[in-house]
Amino acid sequence: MHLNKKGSFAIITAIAVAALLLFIINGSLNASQTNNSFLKMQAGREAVLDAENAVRIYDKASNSEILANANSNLSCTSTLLLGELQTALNSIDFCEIQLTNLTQGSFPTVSGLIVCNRNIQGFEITEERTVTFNKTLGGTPPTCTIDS
Amino acid sequence: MEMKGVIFTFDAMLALAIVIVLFSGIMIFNLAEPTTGATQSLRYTNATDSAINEYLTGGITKDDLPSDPNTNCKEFFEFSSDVVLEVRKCI
Repeated sequence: MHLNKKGSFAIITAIAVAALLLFIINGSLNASQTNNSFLKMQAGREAVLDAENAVRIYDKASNSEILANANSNLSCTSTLLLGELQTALNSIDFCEIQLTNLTQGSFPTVSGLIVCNRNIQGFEITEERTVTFNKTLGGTPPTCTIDS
Repeated sequence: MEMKGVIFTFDAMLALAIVIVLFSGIMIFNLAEPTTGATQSLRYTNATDSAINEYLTGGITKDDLPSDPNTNCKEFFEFSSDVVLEVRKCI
């Protein structure tokens, strides 16, 4: 079979170059997608950990509120003064708290939605956590143990 | 020296071989280097694991906020009459 050498070479070279370009483009797209996936994973993990941290703070603050109001047992110690629960909860700045109920006093009730947003290089992930704390002082007569 | 073949000359085949080797090398180098996101995620994961460990075991490490934007920090807060920074680990 006789081939036109110049024409054949041009066609084969063109196909090779096109294939090479496709490989390069594919490689770049894969690298970009992998990069984005890692950033999204990081944002997601940060949002979840922030929400967990906020829940823990709510938990401890509501405990402290009970102890601050434990008039029946003066030996209970609290890190909160009376009526400071709202102030304490408002100072969480890494998550937004949407309170649906907040009752301060001897039987505090805290319920609402914790919304944590994380934005990493344009990727925003939102973690929402519904929380409800209904706690009482345990024991008869009341001790400094908290039942929930 | 130029040797003529049926379709490719020896010089042309040599040139093609060099191009293929060069591109292959570049591709392998790119695969070996983690992407920016992967590197950042790895730093963040290390910082987070370390911060969680300290937070749960009562650690008191509070690294200064870094000026290097590539450094990843993880913070945990605690409640003690107010919301206060408990642990900050930066890697």
